[in-house]
Amino acid sequence: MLAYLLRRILYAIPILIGVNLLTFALFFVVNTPDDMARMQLGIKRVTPEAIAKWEHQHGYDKPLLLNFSASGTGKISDTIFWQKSAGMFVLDFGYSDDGRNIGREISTRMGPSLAIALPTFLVGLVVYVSFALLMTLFRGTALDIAGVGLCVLLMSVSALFYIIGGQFVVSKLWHLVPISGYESNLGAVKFVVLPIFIGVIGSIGSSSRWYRTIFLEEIGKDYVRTARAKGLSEMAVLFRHVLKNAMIPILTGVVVVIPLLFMGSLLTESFFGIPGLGSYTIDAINAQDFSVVRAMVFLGSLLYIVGLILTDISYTIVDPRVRLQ
Amino acid sequence: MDSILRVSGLITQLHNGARIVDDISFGINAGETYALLGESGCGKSMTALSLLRLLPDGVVRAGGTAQLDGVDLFGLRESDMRAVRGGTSAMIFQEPGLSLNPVMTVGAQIAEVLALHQDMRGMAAQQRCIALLDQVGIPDAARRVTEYPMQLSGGMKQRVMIAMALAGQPKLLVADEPTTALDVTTQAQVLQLLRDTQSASGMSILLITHDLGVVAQMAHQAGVMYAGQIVEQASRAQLLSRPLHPYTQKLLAALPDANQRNRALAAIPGSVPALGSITRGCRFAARCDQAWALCNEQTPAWTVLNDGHGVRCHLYGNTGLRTRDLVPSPQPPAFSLQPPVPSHQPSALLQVKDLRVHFPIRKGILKTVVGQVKAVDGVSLEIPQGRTLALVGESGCGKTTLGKALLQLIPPTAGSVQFAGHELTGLDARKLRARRSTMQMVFQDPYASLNPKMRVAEILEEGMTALGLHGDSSARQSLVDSLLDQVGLARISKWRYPHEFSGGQRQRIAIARALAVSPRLLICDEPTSALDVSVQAQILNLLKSLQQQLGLSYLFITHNLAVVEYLAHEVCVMYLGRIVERGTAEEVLRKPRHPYTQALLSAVPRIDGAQTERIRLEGDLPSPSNPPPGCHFAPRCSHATELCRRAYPENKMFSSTHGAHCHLYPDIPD
Amino acid sequence: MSFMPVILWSDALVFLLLAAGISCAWYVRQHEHLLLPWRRVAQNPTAMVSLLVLSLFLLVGLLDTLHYRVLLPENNNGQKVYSPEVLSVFDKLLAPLRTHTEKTYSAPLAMTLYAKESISEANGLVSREYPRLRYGGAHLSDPQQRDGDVLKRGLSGALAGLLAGLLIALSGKRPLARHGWPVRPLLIATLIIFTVIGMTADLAGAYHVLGTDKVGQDVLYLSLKSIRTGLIIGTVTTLVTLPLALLLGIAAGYLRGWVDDVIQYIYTVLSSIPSVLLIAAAVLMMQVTIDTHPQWFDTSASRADLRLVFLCLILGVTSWTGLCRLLRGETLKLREMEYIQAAQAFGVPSLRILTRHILPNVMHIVLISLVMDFSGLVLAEAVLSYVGVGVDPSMISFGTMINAARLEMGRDPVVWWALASAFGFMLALVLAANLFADAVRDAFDPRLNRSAVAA
Repeated sequence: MLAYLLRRILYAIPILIGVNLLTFALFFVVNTPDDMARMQLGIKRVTPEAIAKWEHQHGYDKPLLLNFSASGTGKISDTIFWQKSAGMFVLDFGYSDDGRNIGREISTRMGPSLAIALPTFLVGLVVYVSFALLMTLFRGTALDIAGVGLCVLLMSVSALFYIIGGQFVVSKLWHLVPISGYESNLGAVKFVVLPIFIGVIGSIGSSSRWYRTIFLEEIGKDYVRTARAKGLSEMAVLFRHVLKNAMIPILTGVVVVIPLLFMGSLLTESFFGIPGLGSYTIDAINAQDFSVVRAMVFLGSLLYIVGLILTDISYTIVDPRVRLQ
Repeated sequence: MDSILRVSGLITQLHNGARIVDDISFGINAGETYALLGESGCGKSMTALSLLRLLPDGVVRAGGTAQLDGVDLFGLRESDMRAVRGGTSAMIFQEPGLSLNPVMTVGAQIAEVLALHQDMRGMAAQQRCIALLDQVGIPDAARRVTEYPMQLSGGMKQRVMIAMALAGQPKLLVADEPTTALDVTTQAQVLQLLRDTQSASGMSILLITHDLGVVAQMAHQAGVMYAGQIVEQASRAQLLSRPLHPYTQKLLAALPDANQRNRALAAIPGSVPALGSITRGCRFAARCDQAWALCNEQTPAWTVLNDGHGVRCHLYGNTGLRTRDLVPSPQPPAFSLQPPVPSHQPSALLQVKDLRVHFPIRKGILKTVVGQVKAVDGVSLEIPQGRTLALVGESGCGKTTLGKALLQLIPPTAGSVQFAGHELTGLDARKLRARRSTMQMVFQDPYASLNPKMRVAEILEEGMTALGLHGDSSARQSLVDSLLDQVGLARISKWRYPHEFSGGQRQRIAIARALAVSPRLLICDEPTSALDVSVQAQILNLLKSLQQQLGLSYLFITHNLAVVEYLAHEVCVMYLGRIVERGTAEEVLRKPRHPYTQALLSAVPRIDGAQTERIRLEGDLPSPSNPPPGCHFAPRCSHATELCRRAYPENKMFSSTHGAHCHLYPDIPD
Repeated sequence: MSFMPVILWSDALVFLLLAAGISCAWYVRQHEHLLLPWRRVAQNPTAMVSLLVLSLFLLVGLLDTLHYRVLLPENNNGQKVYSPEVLSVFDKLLAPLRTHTEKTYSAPLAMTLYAKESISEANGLVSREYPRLRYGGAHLSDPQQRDGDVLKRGLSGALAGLLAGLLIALSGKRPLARHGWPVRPLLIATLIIFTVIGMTADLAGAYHVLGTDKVGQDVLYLSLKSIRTGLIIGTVTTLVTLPLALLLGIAAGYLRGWVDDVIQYIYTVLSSIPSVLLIAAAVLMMQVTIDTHPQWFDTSASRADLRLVFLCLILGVTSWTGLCRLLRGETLKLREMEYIQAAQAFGVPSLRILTRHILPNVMHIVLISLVMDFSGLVLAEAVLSYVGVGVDPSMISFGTMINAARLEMGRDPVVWWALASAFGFMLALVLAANLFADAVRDAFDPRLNRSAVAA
């Protein structure tokens, strides 16, 4: 067990190195630092001096991978790759192109992101599973068919429309909550209610349908017949037997996203003006701030890998077949 | 005698109206076992599920009544029916591995029944669970009760299922093929347990099975089902000694055994008709060699003879014109007694010496090798031209791995495989390909052994093309035609896809595919275990006649000793990767020396009632990754001594051909 | 020649896809067992109606893919000069819609602009009123006549559409019935669709049926133009996904060992990066490249097009991992199948086993996953374009339409029609794709088939 987890954690290191190399290649090999400087400076002010100055300011005036002019460890460490990437492994994200400490930004913005993402996740899970259980309980009836139809309809609508429509109806027509903005502490409640609601509605279609498929697959298995042959009621069969077994495939998709909740949601946060990591990322994309985008890529994959490890751990809790191997 | 269950006129059908169960009536007496016998797809499981109202989605009961202990099952409300399920009537299923909830402990699953039907909870329930597990013969019950199904062997799981059924103290136990998925020694244990439980508790059993041997051991009364109907019903003795319906007669005759060695088996041509395809006439008429015009026109009525023996056949009805002039069915043609063994070449065609196949077990952070699964552990054998060697053993003994290692599908770890004097191990792919045509394989599952996306002609041609045999494509096409003739399929079928064929027909295609490259040795890996008895007889006949015609050698891998008796010249018995006994079929099957062989033979249910005293095996097959020290069989052997637990026995020869690895026998000087 | 055909990168890829699709269809027609599941799809009314809707979208998309540049009257020392504007056959067909641009917002079927403007009259007075549109309802002198005119045109258009639909439906009825297709639902759907098209077409001749946007472009035209972008994102991406997933998935599953390790490593790395971020990063870098090399592009259309193709590429790179993992798992299962071992016992070479045995038996997974992914990609385009890492801002797409229109929801009175029509068109496209995908999955998934047989 422990060895298994340890192996998974060790396995994460080459993956993170891979992510880092990939982003590095994307950011520094496709375009030279000169190109980026030109881009940032704008067409008009491009002079060789200005480019050199920009590159020096932002630390892009070093060789890419190996510095032959340096000595000792400097050969490796005095390079763009080392300067820009190595720090990330110890969660030192450096400074954004406009000179702010990315690490500090991340730590202050995680709060608002979580304030929306976590409730959305939890409420969503309950709603989707309940809806799916309902459809499973009434499988084959008109209720089930209507439910599936509703799911397909709901999942055919772009997330953008849920947000725009929700803002328009709830905030603009009914004036129930403010359209956008954020306050800290309890004041946040009135700002996060609508995003959470919309977030839950937005993926009710695809998620409930997916859970329904899982439940239906489980319900066709032999042990369910055994449970019925014992005289258990359909509800008991569903909740005591099917749900427990369905947890295993459900966990695969669910646990892995838990750490990613920290990243927030790009769309929701930018529409509702939430000062979280999602809107931070969007702003960075729009401002073409490569340092921030790179930091977020690394953070995202780090959290994903943490999610994978958490998934493995959760298996050992839920599935005795994994636990006992 | 008072009957506990009375079913009359039961009809179960699909939503489209096709009848799976068509007007079935029978009764079960208290304390007795009623066996419902039939081949796959005849509706026997659906009958059982109809009674407990557990039919799958899409199947509905469309008529009939059922009284269980005076209660009208089909008139109950669903909530009342739940009190019957698991209470008055419990059910156990075919696949114990799939029928238990994998994420609940054994104890919790039994406790559910106790809470529902005995209103027993907490410590009392816990104690009762342990007592029940103890009752069904699970050792160390107090520990097992907290374990999960995956920690138990197949036989143990079926015992847990039985314990779960007993927890509600049922008056009727419905057992749907309870031993089909189990090995023969485990089957004997479970059947014994069912008999013991019945005599202790006086419950009745509705036993659903396809195995006449199981019927012979278990049943008081039996009904034979065919295509949704009961065609014959009688006591066990009547049924086995004087079967009336031609179908039952054929089923009995189709069972292979030693007495039929030199005859073709009485196979039933064709296969079971599709659901609801026959509405008029006798459903068996198309496959019956005693049928006449009336059989196709008029559905035979249920006829009960004076001795209570019931049958649905025109031969016995009032309408039958030939009621009394029973024609004995013609004897199947005899094979020539002498197999055409080429006299000039007595040496072995295949010679295997000390073959080993080990799989490494990797563990830990760096996946280092911590041990070996010794699937095949030093096997030597020889197969002469034109002879059949049967390799017998239970699942997990390594016999399939051995077969694949001979073909070099799995690279052997050590040892030598020589075919006609040429070494096969360690050859590179090109050199090996040149030898491929000499040895081919027929696989167990006819549904998995044919690529569903290829036409029959393409399947048959594949080997010839790969090995560059038989000239150009037109020559190959004509060979495909003659192959189909040879295995008894119409030539037109070469343009069809595998899904259009029944299991038996697919196995014929698989045999034709192997024959296409003119091999001299066929490795047959349980080729009939997925088939019904009547179809099994067809395939065995085919294999036997091919051997006659072509002088083929067979390595016949099987767990079915009846097939061995019928087909094999020599027998090797395998246990945990090693051959423990070998000899001619006569020697091994009539005078088994190794205690394992003896146990195996005594576990086979026989229909003639000539049951030798059963040798009960303790426990389960040990893991091949950690075999017991000394003789591998010692922990389960009743004769084991200190020596057995210490040293692996040498081979002791009892005749020039018969030998066994066992310490029981003193060294016999040659 | 008065025009020069232009084949943009995306056009070439669409033609490639089309050719691949047609040859696949031809191959399937030759093989009865491959046709079988498609027959099941064809008997499903929902699927066939969805397919009808989809094929209309497809037709629009294809017409919009045939590009050309018009020859300009002036010439440069005897050399022909072509307009820098790249048009499509579809643009030509809808020339009035494209060229009839108003000054700014106008509501659907309106005759005036949406906001009052100060108009200085001849006598020097300045009045605030709703100015008449240049094209919308310009044929009417009196605004009072509009309702009657709309009704008249709507009815006559609907009638013409109905007649055309009836003609097509009746001629198609017999062959459809012969193949056991669901005739009645298809008939009804055809009639409804043609009526709507007829009505819209007739009205669009004189009005802006769905209004105009901020710069006065006809919203109906924008919505129709968006279809091609959505379709390209949804289909061209497969050209990247399919070979990657198929090749790597099967290779990993069949060869195992270090090949498997390397492929697993690659797809774990790729899937561990949140896809939006990876796309954002890649598109940003792409934009830098495009901006620093303006000499590569002769027209703005070809620049926008390259970005579109690149977006497909990067979407493909981020989305092949799921299918690859599925295929690897299935191949691992298949390689233990007895028919594979039978082939190995004949010494059939690995490559042949892969193509003859493994590939045909995983194709259903590939197909299901491709049709299921399509709608997701169309939706993704909108989100990405909205975020600013999608298609080029100058390219008409659902995403850019929504992006341009979203601030209008804050206006008072609200400008709703651009969003509503983007919503409607997208919903129709994605819903039809989803329903069709469901039917394909039901028909091809062997696990689902088994339960269907029992039922």
